[in-house]
Amino acid sequence: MIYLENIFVCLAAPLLIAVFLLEGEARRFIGFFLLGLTACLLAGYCNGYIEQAAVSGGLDYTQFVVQFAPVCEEILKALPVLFYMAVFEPKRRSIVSSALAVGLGFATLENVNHIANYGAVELPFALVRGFSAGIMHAICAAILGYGLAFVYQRKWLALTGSFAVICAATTFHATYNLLVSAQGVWRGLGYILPAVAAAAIMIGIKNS
Amino acid sequence: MKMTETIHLINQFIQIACLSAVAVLSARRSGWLFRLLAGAFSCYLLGDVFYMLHMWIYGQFPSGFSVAYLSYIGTYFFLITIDLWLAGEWTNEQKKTMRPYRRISMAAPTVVVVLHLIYYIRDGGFFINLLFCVPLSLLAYYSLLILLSGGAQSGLGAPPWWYHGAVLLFVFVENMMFLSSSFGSDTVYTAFDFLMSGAILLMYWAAAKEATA
Repeated sequence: MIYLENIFVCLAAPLLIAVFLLEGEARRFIGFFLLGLTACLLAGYCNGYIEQAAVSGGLDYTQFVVQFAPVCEEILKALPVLFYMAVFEPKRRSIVSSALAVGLGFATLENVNHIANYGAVELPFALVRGFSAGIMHAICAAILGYGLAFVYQRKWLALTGSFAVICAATTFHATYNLLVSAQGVWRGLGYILPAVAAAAIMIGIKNS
Repeated sequence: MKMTETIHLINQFIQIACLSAVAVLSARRSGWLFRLLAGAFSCYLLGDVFYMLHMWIYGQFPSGFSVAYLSYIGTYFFLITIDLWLAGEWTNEQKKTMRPYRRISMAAPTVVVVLHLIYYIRDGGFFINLLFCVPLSLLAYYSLLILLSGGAQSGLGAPPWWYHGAVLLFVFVENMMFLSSSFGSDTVYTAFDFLMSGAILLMYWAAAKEATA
């Protein structure tokens, strides 16, 4: 059995030192990366409880992964960014980079845990994991970052806008989970979906 | 697969095609209205895609709580955000002139609540009903309020009856889809599902028309 807390401590310790050593933009990025790792750890706990409740309520494990896990994970990823925006009123660029840092931190701990659980012997396995789930979390974070930065232009839109953006990120995450939980061609589509979406977002950003 | 399921899938295909088109068109236009509309259409699109993929992969549409529902609710919140953006730009003077319209606008959420109450009595599901009822009521209220209060106060620069009329049609079709599904009428449900694609296209067309006016 792999203990997620132990992996978290190993990854977080040097980053915590870096937060105190660095300054400015780099410190903020590392800080939010650390919060992303923490969000992943908390998601592990929350998902465990929800899974127990869902499975005892008659839901099978796959349905839990597809329908419930994304909701919990996206809310936990959004919380640090929402807090940062509510308290510090940062610039738009800072919101986007903070959200991305949270997403990358989350993806890092999740990937390390996955590799530790299922083995790191095969490079293709690691590549597929890194370029699918890793990018998927980055995209969800980008949706959150750009979306929240946009709706926070007007204070009174914060509540409805934030909820809408979290819903969009959650559905993208759930669609990925749905595809990779299937077999055959669907799973293959799931693996390439994040890369395609990332390319589309990058083209969109360049053109805007 | 049953005939009704096949028609439902074809309808979903049409809807996905319409949503993809308007989402891309909205994203390519500048201005806050189209950014939020792109968000709304993308959210609805993701919900439809999830719904269809679930059908293909597991051989059945999602039952109980589904992430697809969350994306539809996200769409309503994007549309409410558009209305709140417009309403937030009103001056105190304009807000005073709105007072009589506020009471009349309460009719729209009342209708939505009554329809959801009927749906709840027939089908149950308190939590999911509430999740849909609250944003749809808010959306109906603000859309009717802005529609009644006239274009000069909307901030869009032109009378917004087309856009907000389209949003009200969207809300109406959503509610009727709920209701027809609870009465087990596949034909009526399919008709409203088809009408939904029209409402979505109308919404984009109206927004584009008003933005250029």
